[in-house]
Amino acid sequence: MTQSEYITHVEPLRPLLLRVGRDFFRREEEAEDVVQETLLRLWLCRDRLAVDDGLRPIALRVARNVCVSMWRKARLRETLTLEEGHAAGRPDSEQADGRLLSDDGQLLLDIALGRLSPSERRLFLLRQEPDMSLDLMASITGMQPRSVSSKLSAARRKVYDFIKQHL
Amino acid sequence: MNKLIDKYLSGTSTREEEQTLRRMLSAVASLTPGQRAVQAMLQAEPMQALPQWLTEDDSATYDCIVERHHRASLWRRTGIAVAASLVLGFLLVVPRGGEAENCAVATIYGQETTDEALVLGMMENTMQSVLACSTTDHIEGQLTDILNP
Repeated sequence: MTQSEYITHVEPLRPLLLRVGRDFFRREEEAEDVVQETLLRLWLCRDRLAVDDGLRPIALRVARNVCVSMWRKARLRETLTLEEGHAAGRPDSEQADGRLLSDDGQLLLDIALGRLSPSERRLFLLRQEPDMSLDLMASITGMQPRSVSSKLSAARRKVYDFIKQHL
Repeated sequence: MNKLIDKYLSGTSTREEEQTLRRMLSAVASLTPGQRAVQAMLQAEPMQALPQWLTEDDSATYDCIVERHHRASLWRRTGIAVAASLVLGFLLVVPRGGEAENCAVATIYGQETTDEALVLGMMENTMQSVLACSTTDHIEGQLTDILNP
């Protein structure tokens, strides 16, 4: 599926995906997260999709999977204690106190990305895609270009401040 | 370079500017902590597409949880309706219950009392004015000096 085919055939499914998220979470914020995550996954898998594949049932299935996945992560976070949660959120090699002060920027980057909200992390990593413009990010996530820019800026500043503080 | 870093952090930099910034940072021998932070950020790996995103199917779990939410919502609405009915019924019944009883009210020295014995007693003594009401037998009048021989 090409970029234009994605914009033509996948983007109009947004209201349907939003309804899937609303039926599950009953909250607008989480429903938006579901839509963005679903659209992102479909974008990243676009090479394996064809327009004739029946995109609607595939998109619905992906959206339901995203809902259940988010629900499971939320339950896992609730059941873990604070210390266990910190340990689970970081790679094993980062648990020693000294590594937080490591000058390894990549290690700190992983930790910093883990501290972002799901939508901020999504935008940060999506921007790393080759040939990814702000307008295309807006099309993929269903956000306004200005919102993409401001949220991306917020994510980058958070990551930047965290890494700089711990280097 | 600092302008490019500011533009990058503001989220408005183009891909070309970010690649230029990456080249500039790699050419600097000694980077400041801020520059090292930006360098690490520019080298972040993009998200990977996972095959199971298209093949896994959690629809059964999804349907189960949605059904559970729907039932909980139904119970909540039923509870609210029952509580509202009880409150409304209480508000309607209580005043009628008060009216159903005969009540005699006497004003004695400027103060109201519904004590029937007291009212009757005062009628037998001396009253300037009596106002009595009853749902079955309305008596409204002004008795002056009736017990004042």
